[in-house]
Amino acid sequence: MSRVPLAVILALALLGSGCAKPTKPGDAISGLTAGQRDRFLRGRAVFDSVFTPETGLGPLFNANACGECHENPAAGGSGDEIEVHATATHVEGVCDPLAGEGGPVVQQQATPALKAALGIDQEPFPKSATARAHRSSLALFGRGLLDAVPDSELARYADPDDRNRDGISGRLNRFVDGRIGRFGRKAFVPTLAEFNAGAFAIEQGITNPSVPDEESIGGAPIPKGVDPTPDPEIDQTALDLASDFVRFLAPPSPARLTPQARRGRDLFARVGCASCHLPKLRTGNNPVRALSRQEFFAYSDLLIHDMGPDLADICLGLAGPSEFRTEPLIGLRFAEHFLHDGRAETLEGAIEQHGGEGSGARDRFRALPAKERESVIAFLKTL
Amino acid sequence: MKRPASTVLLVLLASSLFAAGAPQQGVPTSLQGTIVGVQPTAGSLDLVTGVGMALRQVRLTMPATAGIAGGSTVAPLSMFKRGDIVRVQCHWSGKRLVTDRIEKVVPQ
Repeated sequence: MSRVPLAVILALALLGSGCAKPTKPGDAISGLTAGQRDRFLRGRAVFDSVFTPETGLGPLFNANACGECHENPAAGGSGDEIEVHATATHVEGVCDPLAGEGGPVVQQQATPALKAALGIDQEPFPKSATARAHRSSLALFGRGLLDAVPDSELARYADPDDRNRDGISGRLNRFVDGRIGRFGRKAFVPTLAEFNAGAFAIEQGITNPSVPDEESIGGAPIPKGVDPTPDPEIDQTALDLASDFVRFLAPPSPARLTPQARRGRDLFARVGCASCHLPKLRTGNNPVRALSRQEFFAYSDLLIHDMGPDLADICLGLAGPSEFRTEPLIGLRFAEHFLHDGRAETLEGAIEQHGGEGSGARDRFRALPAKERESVIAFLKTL
Repeated sequence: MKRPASTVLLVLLASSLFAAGAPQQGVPTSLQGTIVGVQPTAGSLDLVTGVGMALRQVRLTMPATAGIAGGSTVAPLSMFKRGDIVRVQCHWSGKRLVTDRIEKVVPQ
Protein backbone atom coordinates (compact mmCIF):
# COMPACT_ATOMS: atom_id res chain seq x y z
CA MET A 1 0.00 0.00 0.00
CA SER A 2 1.37 3.41 -0.92
CA ARG A 3 1.88 6.08 1.77
CA VAL A 4 -0.78 8.52 0.54
CA PRO A 5 -3.74 6.15 0.81
CA LEU A 6 -2.51 5.10 4.25
CA ALA A 7 -2.52 8.72 5.39
CA VAL A 8 -6.05 9.17 4.04
CA ILE A 9 -7.22 6.03 5.82
CA LEU A 10 -5.66 7.17 9.08
CA ALA A 11 -7.28 10.60 8.77
CA LEU A 12 -10.67 9.04 8.08
CA ALA A 13 -10.23 6.68 10.99
CA LEU A 14 -9.42 9.60 13.32
CA LEU A 15 -12.44 11.54 12.12
CA GLY A 16 -14.62 8.51 12.49
CA SER A 17 -13.48 7.97 16.03
CA GLY A 18 -14.31 11.51 17.04
CA CYS A 19 -10.67 12.59 17.23
CA ALA A 20 -11.04 15.40 14.72
CA LYS A 21 -8.56 18.18 15.24
CA PRO A 22 -10.02 20.89 17.48
CA THR A 23 -10.84 24.13 15.71
CA LYS A 24 -8.77 27.07 16.87
CA PRO A 25 -9.75 30.75 16.67
CA GLY A 26 -9.14 31.96 13.12
CA ASP A 27 -9.52 28.53 11.53
CA ALA A 28 -11.90 27.87 8.67
CA ILE A 29 -14.97 25.70 9.20
CA SER A 30 -14.40 22.10 8.27
CA GLY A 31 -15.86 20.64 5.12
CA LEU A 32 -15.03 23.51 2.75
CA THR A 33 -14.10 22.65 -0.82
CA ALA A 34 -10.57 23.45 -1.99
CA GLY A 35 -11.96 26.48 -3.83
CA GLN A 36 -13.79 27.76 -0.75
CA ARG A 37 -10.71 27.26 1.39
CA ASP A 38 -8.70 29.23 -1.14
CA ARG A 39 -11.25 32.06 -0.93
CA PHE A 40 -11.01 31.95 2.87
CA LEU A 41 -7.24 32.43 2.70
CA ARG A 42 -7.41 35.14 0.05
CA GLY A 43 -10.22 36.82 1.96
CA ARG A 44 -8.07 36.91 5.09
CA ALA A 45 -5.50 38.91 3.13
CA VAL A 46 -8.19 41.48 2.23
CA PHE A 47 -9.44 41.45 5.85
CA ASP A 48 -5.91 42.22 7.07
CA SER A 49 -5.20 44.85 4.38
CA VAL A 50 -4.17 48.16 5.89
CA PHE A 51 -5.68 51.07 3.99
CA THR A 52 -4.20 54.55 3.68
CA PRO A 53 -5.79 57.73 2.33
CA GLU A 54 -4.07 56.95 -0.96
CA THR A 55 -5.81 53.57 -1.18
CA GLY A 56 -9.19 54.88 -0.04
CA LEU A 57 -9.12 55.21 3.74
CA GLY A 58 -11.55 57.82 5.06
CA PRO A 59 -12.02 60.71 4.94
CA LEU A 60 -13.85 59.63 8.12
CA PHE A 61 -13.05 56.25 9.65
CA ASN A 62 -12.74 54.27 12.86
CA ALA A 63 -9.93 51.91 11.82
CA ASN A 64 -7.58 51.41 8.89
CA ALA A 65 -8.15 47.65 8.56
CA CYS A 66 -10.79 45.10 9.48
CA GLY A 67 -8.04 43.34 11.39
CA GLU A 68 -7.34 46.40 13.53
CA CYS A 69 -10.54 45.80 15.50
CA HIS A 70 -10.86 42.04 15.00
CA GLU A 71 -7.50 40.62 15.97
CA ASN A 72 -7.55 38.77 19.31
CA PRO A 73 -6.60 35.99 19.61
CA ALA A 74 -6.53 35.66 15.80
CA ALA A 75 -7.82 37.40 12.67
CA GLY A 76 -11.59 37.64 13.05
CA GLY A 77 -11.37 37.90 16.84
CA SER A 78 -12.28 40.79 19.10
CA GLY A 79 -10.51 44.09 19.77
CA ASP A 80 -10.06 46.84 22.31
CA GLU A 81 -11.59 49.56 20.17
CA ILE A 82 -14.77 51.25 21.34
CA GLU A 83 -16.87 53.11 18.82
CA VAL A 84 -19.62 55.69 19.18
CA HIS A 85 -23.17 55.37 17.89
CA ALA A 86 -26.02 57.89 18.12
CA THR A 87 -29.72 57.81 17.28
CA ALA A 88 -32.88 59.69 18.25
CA THR A 89 -36.14 58.37 19.64
CA HIS A 90 -39.01 60.57 18.47
CA VAL A 91 -41.96 61.32 20.74
CA GLU A 92 -44.18 58.75 19.02
CA GLY A 93 -41.55 56.08 19.74
CA VAL A 94 -40.13 55.91 16.22
CA CYS A 95 -36.37 55.45 16.03
CA ASP A 96 -34.37 57.74 13.73
CA PRO A 97 -30.85 56.47 12.97
CA LEU A 98 -29.90 60.04 12.11
CA ALA A 99 -28.48 59.06 8.74
CA GLY A 100 -29.04 62.67 7.64
CA GLU A 101 -26.55 63.80 10.29
CA GLY A 102 -23.97 61.08 9.71
CA GLY A 103 -25.44 58.51 12.14
CA PRO A 104 -25.83 56.00 13.49
CA VAL A 105 -22.05 55.36 13.53
CA VAL A 106 -20.07 58.47 14.47
CA GLN A 107 -16.54 58.02 13.12
CA GLN A 108 -13.78 58.85 15.55
CA GLN A 109 -10.92 59.54 13.14
CA ALA A 110 -10.32 61.82 10.15
CA THR A 111 -7.65 61.76 7.45
CA PRO A 112 -5.05 64.57 7.42
CA ALA A 113 -6.71 66.04 4.31
CA LEU A 114 -10.12 66.26 6.03
CA LYS A 115 -8.55 67.71 9.12
CA ALA A 116 -6.78 70.34 7.02
CA ALA A 117 -10.01 71.20 5.18
CA LEU A 118 -12.43 71.36 8.12
CA GLY A 119 -10.24 71.38 11.22
CA ILE A 120 -11.93 68.31 12.69
CA ASP A 121 -10.40 65.17 14.20
CA GLN A 122 -13.62 63.15 14.11
CA GLU A 123 -17.17 63.29 12.84
CA PRO A 124 -19.32 65.87 14.65
CA PHE A 125 -21.78 64.28 17.08
CA PRO A 126 -25.33 64.52 15.63
CA LYS A 127 -27.18 67.51 17.08
CA SER A 128 -30.54 65.72 17.07
CA ALA A 129 -29.30 62.67 18.98
CA THR A 130 -31.28 61.71 22.05
CA ALA A 131 -28.82 59.01 23.09
CA ARG A 132 -25.22 57.93 22.66
CA ALA A 133 -23.89 54.38 22.74
CA HIS A 134 -20.48 52.79 22.98
CA ARG A 135 -19.82 49.54 21.13
CA SER A 136 -16.92 47.16 21.62
CA SER A 137 -15.54 45.08 18.75
CA LEU A 138 -16.74 41.52 19.01
CA ALA A 139 -15.32 38.30 17.64
CA LEU A 140 -16.68 37.14 14.28
CA PHE A 141 -16.23 33.40 14.76
CA GLY A 142 -19.18 31.34 13.56
CA ARG A 143 -20.97 34.29 11.95
CA GLY A 144 -21.42 32.38 8.69
CA LEU A 145 -23.41 29.78 10.60
CA LEU A 146 -25.53 32.47 12.26
CA ASP A 147 -26.16 33.96 8.81
CA ALA A 148 -27.37 30.59 7.53
CA VAL A 149 -30.09 30.12 10.16
CA PRO A 150 -33.46 30.66 8.44
CA ASP A 151 -35.56 33.66 9.48
CA SER A 152 -38.37 31.21 10.19
CA GLU A 153 -36.33 29.61 12.98
CA LEU A 154 -35.78 32.98 14.65
CA ALA A 155 -39.47 33.79 14.29
CA ARG A 156 -40.28 30.48 15.95
CA TYR A 157 -38.39 31.51 19.12
CA ALA A 158 -39.96 34.97 19.32
CA ASP A 159 -42.55 35.44 22.06
CA PRO A 160 -43.14 39.20 22.05
CA ASP A 161 -46.24 39.02 24.24
CA ASP A 162 -44.73 36.47 26.63
CA ARG A 163 -47.58 34.04 25.99
CA ASN A 164 -45.78 31.30 27.89
CA ARG A 165 -45.46 33.65 30.90
CA ASP A 166 -41.82 32.81 31.57
CA GLY A 167 -40.84 36.48 31.84
CA ILE A 168 -38.94 36.28 28.54
CA SER A 169 -40.45 38.08 25.58
CA GLY A 170 -37.82 38.10 22.84
CA ARG A 171 -38.81 39.71 19.59
CA LEU A 172 -37.46 40.21 16.10
CA ASN A 173 -35.79 43.44 15.11
CA ARG A 174 -36.11 44.73 11.57
CA PHE A 175 -33.89 46.67 9.19
CA VAL A 176 -35.05 49.99 7.70
CA ASP A 177 -36.58 48.14 4.74
CA GLY A 178 -38.58 45.80 6.98
CA ARG A 179 -36.51 42.63 6.70
CA ILE A 180 -35.72 40.63 9.83
CA GLY A 181 -32.37 41.60 11.36
CA ARG A 182 -29.83 39.49 13.24
CA PHE A 183 -26.37 41.13 13.12
CA GLY A 184 -25.07 43.89 15.34
CA ARG A 185 -25.71 44.42 19.05
CA LYS A 186 -29.35 45.32 18.30
CA ALA A 187 -29.91 42.58 15.67
CA PHE A 188 -30.54 45.30 13.12
CA VAL A 189 -28.75 44.06 9.99
CA PRO A 190 -30.32 41.15 8.06
CA THR A 191 -27.29 39.48 6.47
CA LEU A 192 -23.58 39.03 6.97
CA ALA A 193 -22.74 40.21 3.45
CA GLU A 194 -24.55 43.49 4.06
CA PHE A 195 -22.98 43.94 7.47
CA ASN A 196 -19.52 43.49 5.93
CA ALA A 197 -20.17 45.80 2.97
CA GLY A 198 -21.52 48.47 5.30
CA ALA A 199 -18.59 48.01 7.68
CA PHE A 200 -16.04 48.71 4.94
CA ALA A 201 -17.80 52.02 4.31
CA ILE A 202 -18.50 53.20 7.83
CA GLU A 203 -15.55 51.75 9.71
CA GLN A 204 -12.82 52.45 7.16
CA GLY A 205 -14.38 54.85 4.68
CA ILE A 206 -13.81 52.27 1.94
CA THR A 207 -16.49 52.55 -0.71
CA ASN A 208 -17.42 49.36 -2.54
CA PRO A 209 -19.97 48.20 -5.11
CA SER A 210 -22.69 47.83 -2.44
CA VAL A 211 -21.93 51.22 -0.85
CA PRO A 212 -20.39 53.21 -3.68
CA ASP A 213 -20.56 56.67 -2.09
CA GLU A 214 -18.74 58.02 0.94
CA GLU A 215 -20.24 58.74 4.33
CA SER A 216 -21.16 62.40 4.71
CA ILE A 217 -19.43 64.60 7.27
CA GLY A 218 -22.17 64.86 9.83
CA GLY A 219 -24.64 65.14 6.97
CA ALA A 220 -22.59 67.70 5.03
CA PRO A 221 -20.84 66.88 1.75
CA ILE A 222 -17.15 66.02 1.68
CA PRO A 223 -15.05 69.06 0.74
CA LYS A 224 -13.61 68.88 -2.77
CA GLY A 225 -10.15 67.37 -3.06
CA VAL A 226 -10.28 65.62 0.32
CA ASP A 227 -11.02 62.13 -1.03
CA PRO A 228 -9.39 61.86 -4.47
CA THR A 229 -9.48 58.03 -4.69
CA PRO A 230 -12.06 57.00 -7.30
CA ASP A 231 -15.15 55.15 -6.02
CA PRO A 232 -15.63 52.31 -5.45
CA GLU A 233 -12.36 52.00 -3.55
CA ILE A 234 -12.47 48.19 -3.52
CA ASP A 235 -14.06 46.04 -6.18
CA GLN A 236 -16.64 43.28 -5.92
CA THR A 237 -13.95 40.58 -5.90
CA ALA A 238 -12.22 42.02 -2.84
CA LEU A 239 -15.54 42.63 -1.08
CA ASP A 240 -16.70 39.06 -1.72
CA LEU A 241 -13.39 37.57 -0.60
CA ALA A 242 -13.43 39.49 2.69
CA SER A 243 -17.03 38.46 3.21
CA ASP A 244 -16.18 34.81 2.54
CA PHE A 245 -13.33 34.96 5.04
CA VAL A 246 -15.79 36.05 7.73
CA ARG A 247 -18.46 33.62 6.49
CA PHE A 248 -16.10 30.66 6.72
CA LEU A 249 -14.59 31.50 10.14
CA ALA A 250 -15.27 28.53 12.36
CA PRO A 251 -16.56 28.61 15.89
CA PRO A 252 -13.60 27.60 18.07
CA SER A 253 -14.03 24.13 19.54
CA PRO A 254 -15.18 24.33 23.14
CA ALA A 255 -12.61 23.31 25.77
CA ARG A 256 -13.00 19.91 27.43
CA LEU A 257 -15.74 19.87 30.04
CA THR A 258 -14.44 19.17 33.52
CA PRO A 259 -16.89 17.68 36.04
CA GLN A 260 -17.28 21.19 37.50
CA ALA A 261 -17.96 22.70 34.08
CA ARG A 262 -20.43 19.91 33.30
CA ARG A 263 -22.27 20.80 36.49
CA GLY A 264 -22.13 24.47 35.45
CA ARG A 265 -23.70 23.63 32.09
CA ASP A 266 -26.65 22.05 33.86
CA LEU A 267 -26.98 25.04 36.18
CA PHE A 268 -26.78 27.43 33.21
CA ALA A 269 -29.94 25.82 31.91
CA ARG A 270 -31.58 25.42 35.34
CA VAL A 271 -31.31 29.09 36.37
CA GLY A 272 -32.76 30.16 33.02
CA CYS A 273 -29.74 31.54 31.13
CA ALA A 274 -30.52 29.13 28.29
CA SER A 275 -33.99 30.64 27.81
CA CYS A 276 -32.36 33.39 25.73
CA HIS A 277 -28.85 31.97 25.26
CA LEU A 278 -30.29 29.00 23.37
CA PRO A 279 -27.50 26.43 23.20
CA LYS A 280 -28.09 25.20 19.66
CA LEU A 281 -29.30 26.69 16.40
CA ARG A 282 -29.66 24.94 13.05
CA THR A 283 -28.86 26.29 9.61
CA GLY A 284 -31.14 25.79 6.63
CA ASN A 285 -30.29 24.72 3.12
CA ASN A 286 -27.25 26.64 1.96
CA PRO A 287 -25.25 26.70 -1.27
CA VAL A 288 -22.11 26.16 0.86
CA ARG A 289 -22.31 22.55 1.94
CA ALA A 290 -20.28 23.18 5.10
CA LEU A 291 -22.93 25.68 6.22
CA SER A 292 -25.95 23.66 5.14
CA ARG A 293 -28.19 21.93 7.68
CA GLN A 294 -25.64 22.26 10.45
CA GLU A 295 -26.53 22.17 14.12
CA PHE A 296 -24.07 24.29 16.10
CA PHE A 297 -23.59 25.80 19.53
CA ALA A 298 -24.64 29.45 19.33
CA TYR A 299 -25.96 30.21 22.82
CA SER A 300 -28.26 32.85 21.34
CA ASP A 301 -31.78 33.17 19.95
CA LEU A 302 -30.69 36.23 17.88
CA LEU A 303 -33.74 38.06 19.24
CA ILE A 304 -33.84 41.38 21.05
CA HIS A 305 -34.73 41.42 24.73
CA ASP A 306 -35.32 44.16 27.27
CA MET A 307 -32.20 44.21 29.42
CA GLY A 308 -33.35 46.91 31.84
CA PRO A 309 -32.64 50.62 32.25
CA ASP A 310 -29.06 50.31 33.48
CA LEU A 311 -27.82 48.95 30.16
CA ALA A 312 -30.06 51.14 27.98
CA ASP A 313 -28.49 53.41 25.38
CA ILE A 314 -29.74 54.00 21.80
CA CYS A 315 -32.73 52.78 19.83
CA LEU A 316 -32.13 51.09 16.46
CA GLY A 317 -34.82 49.79 14.14
CA LEU A 318 -37.59 48.42 16.33
CA ALA A 319 -35.22 47.95 19.26
CA GLY A 320 -35.78 50.37 22.09
CA PRO A 321 -32.90 51.77 24.12
CA SER A 322 -32.97 48.90 26.61
CA GLU A 323 -33.36 46.12 24.05
CA PHE A 324 -30.30 44.14 22.94
CA ARG A 325 -29.75 41.00 20.94
CA THR A 326 -28.88 37.93 22.99
CA GLU A 327 -25.15 37.86 22.48
CA PRO A 328 -23.93 34.57 20.97
CA LEU A 329 -21.42 33.02 23.35
CA ILE A 330 -19.27 31.48 20.60
CA GLY A 331 -15.60 31.76 21.57
CA LEU A 332 -16.53 33.38 24.88
CA ARG A 333 -13.39 32.16 26.66
CA PHE A 334 -11.25 34.37 24.39
CA ALA A 335 -13.12 37.58 25.27
CA GLU A 336 -11.45 40.03 27.64
CA HIS A 337 -14.38 42.39 28.13
CA PHE A 338 -18.10 41.66 28.19
CA LEU A 339 -21.47 43.20 27.31
CA HIS A 340 -22.17 45.49 24.35
CA ASP A 341 -19.78 48.22 25.38
CA GLY A 342 -17.18 46.13 27.17
CA ARG A 343 -18.17 47.56 30.54
CA ALA A 344 -17.90 44.24 32.38
CA GLU A 345 -14.41 42.99 33.21
CA THR A 346 -15.53 39.53 34.31
CA LEU A 347 -18.18 37.01 33.36
CA GLU A 348 -19.70 37.23 36.83
CA GLY A 349 -19.83 41.01 36.45
CA ALA A 350 -21.61 40.64 33.12
CA ILE A 351 -24.23 38.33 34.61
CA GLU A 352 -24.71 40.74 37.53
CA GLN A 353 -25.52 43.55 35.09
CA HIS A 354 -28.28 41.63 33.31
CA GLY A 355 -31.58 43.40 34.04
CA GLY A 356 -35.06 43.40 32.53
CA GLU A 357 -35.85 39.99 31.03
CA GLY A 358 -32.47 38.76 32.26
CA SER A 359 -33.12 39.67 35.88
CA GLY A 360 -34.85 36.40 36.75
CA ALA A 361 -31.90 34.29 35.64
CA ARG A 362 -29.53 36.77 37.24
CA ASP A 363 -31.34 36.52 40.57
CA ARG A 364 -31.37 32.72 40.44
CA PHE A 365 -27.65 32.79 39.65
CA ARG A 366 -27.08 35.12 42.60
CA ALA A 367 -28.99 32.76 44.87
CA LEU A 368 -26.73 29.82 44.02
CA PRO A 369 -24.11 28.76 46.57
CA ALA A 370 -20.65 30.14 45.72
CA LYS A 371 -19.40 26.77 44.47
CA GLU A 372 -22.28 26.47 42.05
CA ARG A 373 -21.77 30.00 40.75
CA GLU A 374 -18.15 29.04 40.17
CA SER A 375 -19.35 26.02 38.23
CA VAL A 376 -21.43 28.20 35.90
CA ILE A 377 -18.41 30.43 35.29
CA ALA A 378 -16.23 27.35 34.72
CA PHE A 379 -18.70 26.19 32.07
CA LEU A 380 -18.77 29.60 30.36
CA LYS A 381 -14.97 29.54 30.22
CA THR A 382 -15.12 26.39 28.12
CA LEU A 383 -17.05 28.12 25.32
CA MET B 1 -33.65 29.14 1.27
CA LYS B 2 -34.94 32.41 -0.19
CA ARG B 3 -32.75 34.83 1.77
CA PRO B 4 -29.77 35.07 -0.63
CA ALA B 5 -31.91 36.00 -3.64
CA SER B 6 -33.98 38.56 -1.78
CA THR B 7 -30.83 39.94 -0.16
CA VAL B 8 -29.15 40.47 -3.53
CA LEU B 9 -32.26 42.25 -4.79
CA LEU B 10 -32.49 44.54 -1.79
CA VAL B 11 -28.77 45.29 -1.79
CA LEU B 12 -29.13 46.25 -5.42
CA LEU B 13 -32.09 48.48 -4.54
CA ALA B 14 -30.12 50.10 -1.76
CA SER B 15 -27.07 50.42 -3.99
CA SER B 16 -29.19 52.25 -6.52
CA LEU B 17 -29.81 54.86 -3.85
CA PHE B 18 -26.10 55.22 -3.21
CA ALA B 19 -25.53 55.49 -6.91
CA ALA B 20 -28.09 58.27 -6.73
CA GLY B 21 -25.28 60.34 -5.19
CA ALA B 22 -24.35 61.02 -8.82
CA PRO B 23 -27.89 61.48 -10.15
CA GLN B 24 -28.77 60.05 -13.53
CA GLN B 25 -31.47 62.39 -14.71
CA GLY B 26 -34.83 60.87 -15.45
CA VAL B 27 -33.72 57.29 -14.91
CA PRO B 28 -36.28 55.42 -12.78
CA THR B 29 -34.97 53.91 -9.56
CA SER B 30 -36.51 51.98 -6.67
CA LEU B 31 -35.96 52.43 -2.95
CA GLN B 32 -37.28 50.72 0.14
CA GLY B 33 -36.80 52.21 3.57
CA THR B 34 -38.25 53.85 6.65
CA ILE B 35 -39.78 57.32 6.71
CA VAL B 36 -38.09 59.50 9.32
CA GLY B 37 -39.63 62.84 8.41
CA VAL B 38 -42.65 64.28 6.62
CA GLN B 39 -42.80 67.91 5.43
CA PRO B 40 -46.45 68.57 4.47
CA THR B 41 -45.85 72.18 3.44
CA ALA B 42 -42.93 71.36 1.20
CA GLY B 43 -44.62 68.19 -0.06
CA SER B 44 -41.71 65.93 0.73
CA LEU B 45 -40.67 63.10 2.99
CA ASP B 46 -37.32 61.85 4.29
CA LEU B 47 -36.47 58.21 3.75
CA VAL B 48 -33.67 56.16 5.31
CA THR B 49 -32.27 53.18 3.48
CA GLY B 50 -28.84 51.65 3.17
CA VAL B 51 -26.62 48.60 3.47
CA GLY B 52 -25.68 47.21 6.87
CA MET B 53 -24.90 50.01 9.26
CA ALA B 54 -24.08 52.35 6.36
CA LEU B 55 -27.37 54.22 6.25
CA ARG B 56 -28.29 57.11 4.02
CA GLN B 57 -31.16 59.61 4.14
CA VAL B 58 -32.78 61.09 1.06
CA ARG B 59 -35.52 63.65 0.63
CA LEU B 60 -38.27 62.57 -1.74
CA THR B 61 -40.48 65.14 -3.38
CA MET B 62 -44.10 63.99 -3.57
CA PRO B 63 -45.81 65.61 -6.54
CA ALA B 64 -49.60 65.76 -6.53
CA THR B 65 -49.56 63.14 -9.29
CA ALA B 66 -47.65 60.47 -7.32
CA GLY B 67 -49.65 57.26 -7.36
CA ILE B 68 -50.10 54.46 -4.92
CA ALA B 69 -48.65 51.27 -6.32
CA GLY B 70 -51.35 48.86 -7.37
CA GLY B 71 -53.95 51.58 -7.78
CA SER B 72 -54.65 54.67 -9.78
CA THR B 73 -55.43 56.99 -6.90
CA VAL B 74 -53.07 59.75 -5.93
CA ALA B 75 -51.18 59.28 -2.65
CA PRO B 76 -51.72 62.20 -0.28
CA LEU B 77 -48.74 62.96 1.93
CA SER B 78 -51.01 62.71 4.97
CA MET B 79 -51.15 58.94 4.38
CA PHE B 80 -47.57 58.65 5.57
CA LYS B 81 -45.95 59.10 8.94
CA ARG B 82 -42.59 58.57 10.60
CA GLY B 83 -41.82 54.89 11.06
CA ASP B 84 -43.72 53.72 7.97
CA ILE B 85 -41.77 51.39 5.71
CA VAL B 86 -42.35 52.23 2.07
CA ARG B 87 -41.32 51.04 -1.38
CA VAL B 88 -40.84 53.93 -3.79
CA GLN B 89 -40.36 54.27 -7.51
CA CYS B 90 -38.75 57.61 -8.27
CA HIS B 91 -36.48 59.54 -10.63
CA TRP B 92 -34.05 62.42 -10.45
CA SER B 93 -35.17 65.80 -11.73
CA GLY B 94 -32.35 68.28 -11.31
CA LYS B 95 -31.24 67.90 -7.69
CA ARG B 96 -34.62 66.56 -6.56
CA LEU B 97 -35.60 62.95 -6.18
CA VAL B 98 -39.20 62.84 -7.36
CA THR B 99 -41.65 60.12 -6.33
CA ASP B 100 -43.59 58.39 -9.10
CA ARG B 101 -45.25 55.62 -7.09
CA ILE B 102 -45.19 54.76 -3.43
CA GLU B 103 -46.62 51.95 -1.33
CA LYS B 104 -46.49 51.03 2.31
CA VAL B 105 -44.73 47.76 3.08
CA VAL B 106 -46.08 45.50 5.78
CA PRO B 107 -43.19 43.36 7.06
CA GLN B 108 -43.84 39.63 6.83
